[in-house]
Amino acid sequence: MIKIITVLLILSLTLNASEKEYAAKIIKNLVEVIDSSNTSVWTDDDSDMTGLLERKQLHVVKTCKNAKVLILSSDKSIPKHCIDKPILVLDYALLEKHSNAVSAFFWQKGRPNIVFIKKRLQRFSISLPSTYDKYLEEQIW
Amino acid sequence: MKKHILYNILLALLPLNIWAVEDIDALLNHYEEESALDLKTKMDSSGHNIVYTRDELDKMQAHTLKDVIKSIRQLTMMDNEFGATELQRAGAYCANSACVRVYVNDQEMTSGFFGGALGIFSNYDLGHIDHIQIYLGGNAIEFGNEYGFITIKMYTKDPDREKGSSVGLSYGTNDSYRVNALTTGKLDNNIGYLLYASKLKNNKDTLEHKGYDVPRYSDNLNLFATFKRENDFIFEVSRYERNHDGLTGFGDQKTPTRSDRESVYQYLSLTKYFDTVKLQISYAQEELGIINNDYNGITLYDGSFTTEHDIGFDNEILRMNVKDSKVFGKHRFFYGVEYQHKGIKPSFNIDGVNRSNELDGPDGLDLYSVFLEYQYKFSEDTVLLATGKLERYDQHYNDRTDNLSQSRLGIISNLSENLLFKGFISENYIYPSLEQLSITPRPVKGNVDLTPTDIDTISAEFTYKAEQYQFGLGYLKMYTIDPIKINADKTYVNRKIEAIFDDFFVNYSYSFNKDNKVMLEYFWTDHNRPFNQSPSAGGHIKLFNTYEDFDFYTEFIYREGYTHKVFDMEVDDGYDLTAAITYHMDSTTTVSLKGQNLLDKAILAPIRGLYPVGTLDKRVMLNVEWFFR
Repeated sequence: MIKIITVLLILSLTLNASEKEYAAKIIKNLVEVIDSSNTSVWTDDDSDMTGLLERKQLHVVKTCKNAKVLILSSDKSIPKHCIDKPILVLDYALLEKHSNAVSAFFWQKGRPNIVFIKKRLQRFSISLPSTYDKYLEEQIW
Repeated sequence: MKKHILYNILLALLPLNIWAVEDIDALLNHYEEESALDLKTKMDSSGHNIVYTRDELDKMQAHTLKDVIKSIRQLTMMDNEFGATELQRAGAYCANSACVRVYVNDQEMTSGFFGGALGIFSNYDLGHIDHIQIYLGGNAIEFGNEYGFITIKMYTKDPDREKGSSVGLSYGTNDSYRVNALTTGKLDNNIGYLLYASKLKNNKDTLEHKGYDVPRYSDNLNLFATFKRENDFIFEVSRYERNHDGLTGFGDQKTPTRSDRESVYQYLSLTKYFDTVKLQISYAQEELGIINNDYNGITLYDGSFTTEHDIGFDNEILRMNVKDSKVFGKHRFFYGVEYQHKGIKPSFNIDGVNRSNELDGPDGLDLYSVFLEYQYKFSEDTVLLATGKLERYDQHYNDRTDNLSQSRLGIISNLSENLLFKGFISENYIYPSLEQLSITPRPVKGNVDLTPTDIDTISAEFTYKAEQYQFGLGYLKMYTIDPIKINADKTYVNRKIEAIFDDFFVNYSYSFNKDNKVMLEYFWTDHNRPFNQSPSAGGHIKLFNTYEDFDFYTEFIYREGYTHKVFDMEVDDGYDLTAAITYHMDSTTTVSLKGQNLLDKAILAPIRGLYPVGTLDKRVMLNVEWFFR
């Protein structure tokens, strides 16, 4: 019976997906492309994003030092000892600010977008799955 | 054993859920759909709803409000004899759309003099508009406005979702053009802003009547700025200028030497949020100028005769409202108070003589209202609602005060997983406008004794939604009691009749995928009036398609012809074919081409003393848009 309740609970949680939950799922996918599954991430987002990412089975750490991928949503500067890590940014403008930003998930012209920067991916020896080819750009513009 | 079977079935269902197996493209599509702003602004309880999403408006290349409202069911878009574009209710006709309410966000674009303001805003530029919600039939007390048979709510783009600037240029038939620019950004204190400017010029073919030219044109300037901080405040400032031909104008023989209309509408609006409480204050100025010179003269209501008729109005509209909502378990209360002041300051120059002091009647109206909507969640699938609104109108004339009320009962129920039902019963009214109440040296005489027109409706709508398709069926019965009309003496009067309209519609849409869909709709109206004054049936087919970097839009609108017995005119069936193609060259440049009324068979508008004229001209426009981060 407990198993049944567990499954029902999972179904009820997942089928009522909200906008934020979809965002978290996309972020999880992008992070796993940048590093690997079961990787650790650090985010500067103080909102409920951390909890959502954890629910998506991302290992969110409290200090960037322990993370393999950083997720940045704001202009806040990151600690010096973390500046060499690959970054996923949630605002296109942050791609310019952080040379280690390899990918961006952002809004523009009223639509959500994803982009990977080819040269930066090469620097981290990250290879994209073919399903992501359409999101690959040579450089930021 | 049974438990194991059930467990395995449930486990088997898991991969069907949205998280399990979607690729990144599908996730992004779902995220976009779930995030759509129209989902956040849609209010099911506010009536029978039609939505134009951002994606649809983009594919339609909907540059002006006209591009959207021309296909709304139970309505036909037609120019009136003064060159203003109005929406006519199926089978009926009125000179200005008093029953059409137009909003940009929370700001109602109401005219101080005419009441309804569609005549000014029908060509409103949509470059800064994200999506449009249209509510039909019901009394949208939630908006705190005066009654509207149709409420058009345009919502501006969200600065946080635009993140950049754009410039657009369009050029087309008859040297028509459009130039527009938009920019968004964020200030240091987390205030997002959007600035928009557009200039639009539409030239139509010049008409001819009795040997005289009747030019047709419109020229619009739209300036809009919004500053907002999430859950804190929204501040908007806007200026809209519209100049257009006044078509035949008032002339006895419809032979104008000059017939022009100029409008300026500018406003400031502040919305402030205090937890659940929403406060809005706005102040609008409206300037109207109507110049009508006629070779063969214009007879005014008092029998005097003129060849140069130059009138203007400086109007002001002040609105303040406070709204709040509370939820106690299954009970939701939405309530508020509103104050609105409309004031007019006319100027009349008749044959060069200043006759401004001849205004007889109210030069202002104050409206005080208090409203409550109660929603009861009868079950998980059913919500019952009851709304009431008490209103007091103070006319600035003879100490006249009218205490009135509006009410509505409704039910919104998911009869099954796929089937939604909405039903409403409403008692409303339309209060006479200052144009109808005030006597001024014009061809038509106002009447201070006018009473409100009662509008009672009962409506029902069924919507069946499946994964890929949607089917809708609706009915509305409307009683219009003592409508305000112009009698044989050219005076506004309450005609002692009860006009009854029975509206029906059926629609169907099928989505092949996110980017490709087809929409079909047909409507018809029966009524107890002796003849039609506008089309009583119509419909449309719309195709939205995307192929690689190209978007396609095809629209075919039909309106049934009729005989206008008062004007003694035959109006043929109307067929408006619109086609648009958009090429997204790269992430910064878009090139598009659009043709409207390509068959040159769109429904014509009967003009008294003239002949049926086109509201939509046959036009092709080439558009280029650049985007900058």
